[in-house]
Amino acid sequence: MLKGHLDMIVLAALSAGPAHGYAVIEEIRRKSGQAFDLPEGTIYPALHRLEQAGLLSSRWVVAESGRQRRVYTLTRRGERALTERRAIWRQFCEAMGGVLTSAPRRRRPA
Amino acid sequence: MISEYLDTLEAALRFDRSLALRVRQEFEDHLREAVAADPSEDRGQAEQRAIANCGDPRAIATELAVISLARRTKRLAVVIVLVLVGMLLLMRGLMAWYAAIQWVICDDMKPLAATIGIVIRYTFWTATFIGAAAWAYGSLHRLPSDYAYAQYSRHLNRFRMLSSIATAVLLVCMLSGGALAMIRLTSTNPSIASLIPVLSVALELLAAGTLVILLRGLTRQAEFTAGLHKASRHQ
Repeated sequence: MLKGHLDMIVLAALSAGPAHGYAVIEEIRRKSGQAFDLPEGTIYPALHRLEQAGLLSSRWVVAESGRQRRVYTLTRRGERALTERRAIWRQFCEAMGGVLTSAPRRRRPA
Repeated sequence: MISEYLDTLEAALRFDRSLALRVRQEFEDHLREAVAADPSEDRGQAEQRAIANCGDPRAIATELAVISLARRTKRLAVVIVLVLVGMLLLMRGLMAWYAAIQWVICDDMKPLAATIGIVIRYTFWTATFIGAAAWAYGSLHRLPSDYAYAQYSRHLNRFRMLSSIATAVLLVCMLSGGALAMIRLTSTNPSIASLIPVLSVALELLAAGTLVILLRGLTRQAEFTAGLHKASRHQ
């Protein structure tokens, strides 16, 4: 279920600012209160796919450790997509909340 | 341990050298950072945990391969359209040039040239129709967010079928164009002007060759990805 929303989760994690894959995973864990503990490798196909779709851009930087690091940034298109997905998600939550919290009806006697 | 994991991942993506190198560097940075952040003092255990948290390298490679295939598909779809537009412009330009220099075909070859002309017209518009369908199908399809290979492979096979038919029909059109150019060349004495139809045929063949190479590359990568997908499922 979580995988179906991975794109939105990754976009939301990057809304705070540019980050590399490991930092994106840490951000997802932190924001979800450790509830979303994805297999870490799954984040990279999502990042590549979002970049291909033009929702993210990326560049190499040199980390403090001296290693090459790929840093991803949300593009304007990505920001718009995130705003749209947030609105859809809110509508969905409200609708689902309404369905789940509505009081059960009593059955009429036959 | 990390090197072995990275080697497996890189080898699984060897069909795309630049992607393989990029992914290797990204995962190396990721794994080294995960090891550094691990509270355990046993480095071996920390590496083992970091690798286990990353997941099966073949499964990751399959997902990345599907994304790479989608990119190639879109590129091929654009090339098909460009070749078709280029062919149309080339044919129109050539006809205008033949008319301008009043290059006529000798009488006994005229019926054959007329038949070839009909073949060219029909094969070109057939290729254009199928090529446009391939472009629409290849470029408008959205990659499933869960990178499901089984689902994507169906789309890919349909696209490959459409683009293969378009390329084959286009090849018939180009060969017919070459035959017509030969008829025109035999109708006159060799001159500098003869170079124009020869160059035109060469350009068409170059375009067809590019299409065939791209199509072959896509097919090979699709077969490789299918194998990768099978291997990751059997693990």
